Order: sequence, then structure tokens, then C-alpha cells
Amino acid sequence: MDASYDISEELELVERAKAGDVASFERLVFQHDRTVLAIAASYVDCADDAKDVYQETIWRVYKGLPKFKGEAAFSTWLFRIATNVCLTHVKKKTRRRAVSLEERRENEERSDLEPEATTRAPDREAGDREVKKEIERALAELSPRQRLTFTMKHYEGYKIREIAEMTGISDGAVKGYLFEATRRLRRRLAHLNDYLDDAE
Amino acid sequence: MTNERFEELATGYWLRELDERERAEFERARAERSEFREEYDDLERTLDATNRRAPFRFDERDLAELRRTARARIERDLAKRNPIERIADWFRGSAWRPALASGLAMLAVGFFVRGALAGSDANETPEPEPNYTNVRIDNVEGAEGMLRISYDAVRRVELEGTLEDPDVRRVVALALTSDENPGTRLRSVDAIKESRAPLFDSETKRALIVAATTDPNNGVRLEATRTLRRFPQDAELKEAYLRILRLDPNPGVRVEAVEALAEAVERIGKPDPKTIETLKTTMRDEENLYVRVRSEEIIEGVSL
Repeated sequence: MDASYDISEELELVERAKAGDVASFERLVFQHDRTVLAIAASYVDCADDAKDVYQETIWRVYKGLPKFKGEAAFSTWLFRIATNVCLTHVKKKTRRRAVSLEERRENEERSDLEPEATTRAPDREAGDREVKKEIERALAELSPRQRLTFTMKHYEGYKIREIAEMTGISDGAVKGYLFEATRRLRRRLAHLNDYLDDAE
Repeated sequence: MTNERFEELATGYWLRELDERERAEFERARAERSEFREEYDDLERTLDATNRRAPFRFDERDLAELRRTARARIERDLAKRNPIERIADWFRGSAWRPALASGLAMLAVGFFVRGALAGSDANETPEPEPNYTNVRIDNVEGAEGMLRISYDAVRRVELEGTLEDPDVRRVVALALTSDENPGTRLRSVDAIKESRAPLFDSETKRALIVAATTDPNNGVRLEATRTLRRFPQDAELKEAYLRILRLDPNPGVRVEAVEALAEAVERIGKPDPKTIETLKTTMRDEENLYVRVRSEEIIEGVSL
């Protein structure tokens, strides 16, 4: 498989893929699917979920191809679908565990009021594993868009401009989500500072 | 500078999203005020903790497996589409444009020839394809190779005969490719496999290839692939084995396909470039050790 192709070749591949040529579809998609998987892996909290997001993205791209007009690059359209699938995936999961999250939010509100009384550095024996879980929980408590922009920026290294293009929202909105995510994470993870100081 | 403004700049600095002017503003404020220095150190320490959560990283083999699963789903979908959808897809693409002129010319010639030869048959319409549902296939006791088949068309129909009978072959082939019940599809493959009749007609072979490459049930695909090995090996079957090797999500089916491919290559002769390319990809991406080893052996022309 070639490493890249130009715009006219991309449009030709799109036409062939629309006509049911699987090889052309693969050529289009497999140029970018590593990025899809990386975004999914950063965003979700287990490998199986990342695989689900990947499969759902490729399926939606395949089913939606007849509607693709070529107004944006194929990769932009693909990543937009991938980020939408990520958001939908978390919404579905969120619905499933709505009750436990509600409880957690209540706990968080209490901890905001009484940080000293209710937050505690994790036990040394639990170590890094507990910290990782705590980070995972903190990320899960962000809104889907806050989480998406944060993981794409922090774990995948995309610029705000790139995230805006991939998600189809404005630069300003991405910045807003990102800053709010960072603020919330900072507040949510503040109780780990003692542990982190000791660990250094 | 207000605390709020500093927090905004500090967050942007940590995210590496400040422009030159903002960075200078942030660094000046941090250098000038100790509480801002403490504030940023605290922010950095807390947020750097998120680096301890490393996202999963998938290797090339994981990606190959995911691609294989995605391909198989698409192939199954394409195989299931009805002819009208396929025609609609073709028209949505641009491939029809160059073909249109020659198609119209052929049509005109066809009308002329038909008018000249058929005369009064011009209004005849083709017989519609019968719709077989609820197919049941049984062996007839005491008569080897004899099958009893019943199915619903307009009313329930019963048919008895061996696979030498074209009607029996037709129902079995249709049940194999279109019956909703995987048990019936499996029974269709068994009927073909157990038959002593020469089965090498194109309809049965085509049905087995469709089942081996697209059936959603692992057992049906496995048995169909196995049964294809009883047919004379040719380029069409070799193509089917290559496709299974590339796409099938089940390692058992891929093992069967690589064995069948080894036989096909041995009969046809030296592997062609496409076969070699697929085998090389298999050697690199395949998770099953046996399939990898056999792929290498086929390329090297070594048989077990």
C-alpha cells in the first residue's frame, strides 16, 4: 500500500469505494485508522472499548460513504466520525452507570465543601495503581467533550486547531472545553499531591 | 495581574498553547510573584500526575486483526445486499458513465435481434425467482445419498432426490446462501460434503464459496471451506482461500484456508505475485503461529 495519495486520487478512490470496491475503501481508511485507534485508546478506559470504537467508526464510514461529498478531506471526515463515535460511546456507558456517577458527583460536591475532611492521599501500598484508577475516575467525570479534547491534546499531542478540525467545533469551543477540563482535573486530583510529593 | 488571568495563562502554558506574547506575560508574572510560582508548581504537579495514566497502545498485529474484522463485516454486508441495492450503488458511483454509451448500443441491437427472431414473444416476462423459506433437509433412510427436502414456497413443497438432481442442488445451494437458520445452512454443507454424486457444478461451488467467505457463523464457514477442498482446485478457489486468509476473524477457518491454499498452489503450480503478497502479509500480521508457518512453507514451496 502506498504511503500517501493526492487529492484527485483520493476522490477517485472515494468514487470507487462508493461503487462497492472494497480495496479502494481500505486504501482510503487504512491510511488513517492508526490515528482512529490511538484517539479511541486515549479516550476510553479499556482496550475492548477502544476496539469497539474502532469497529463502529469504520462501519459508520462505510455506511456513510455515499453521503460523503468531498467538501473536506476524507481524513477530516473520518476523524469527525471517530470523535462522534467516542462521544456516543461514552454517553451510552454513562447512561448505564448513571446512578453510580450521580453518587460520585454528590461525593465530589461534598469534597469541594470539605476538602480536608474527605480527601486523603491513597494508601502507599495501593501505590501507582490506585493513582491511575483515580485519574481514570477523574477523566470519566469530565463531560464527553471535555474528556475528548483533553485526551486528544494531552495524550495524542494534537494542537487546538487540529482538534477543532477533527471534531468539527470551533477553536474557541475547543479551548473552552480544554481549559475547563484542566481546571476540573486539577481540582479533582488535588488530594493526590501529598502522595505525589512523597513518591518523588 | 489577577489570579484568574494567571490561572488561565498557567493552564495554557501547561498545555503548550500560549502564543509568544502570552508566554512572555506568564513568565514575567511568575518571575515577579512568589504566590504565582507556587500556584504554577502546584498546577504542574497535579496535572503531570495524569501522565501516569498511559493510554493503551496497540501493535501492528492488533491493528491487522481489527482490520480483518472490519473487512469481514463489510464483505458480509456486500454479499447480503440485494441486486437493486447493488445497481443503485453502481449508479451512485461514476463507473456507469463510460459504460452507458456501449450499454445503450447493445440494448438497441438486442431489441432489433429479438424483434426479428422472436416475433410474438416480445411481451413475455421472465419467470420470477421462487422464494424458498423454512427449508428442511433430511437423509432418506436406507437410500444412500438420497435427500428429502421440504420447503415453503407458496405452499409447503417436498422434494426427494440426490444431489445429481438439478432441482435438489438448487434448493440446497439456496438454503446454504440464504436460509436464516445457521443449522439449516450447516446441514446444506453436510449434504454436499456427504454426497457421492459428482458435485462439480458451478452453482454448488459458488454457494460454497459465498458461505465460506461471508457466512456469519464460524461453523458454516469452516465446513464450507473444508468442503471446497473436495472440488478440483482452480484459480477461483485459490482466490476464495486468499480472501478467507486475509479476512476471516476465526483462526480455525484461516487454518483450513491455508491448508486448502497449499493444496491449490501445489495443483496450480508456483504461487503468483498476489498469492505471495497475501502470504507475506499473513506471515507478518497473522496471530496464529500455525497459519504463519504454513504461509512461509507455501512461499518456499515446502510441503509438510
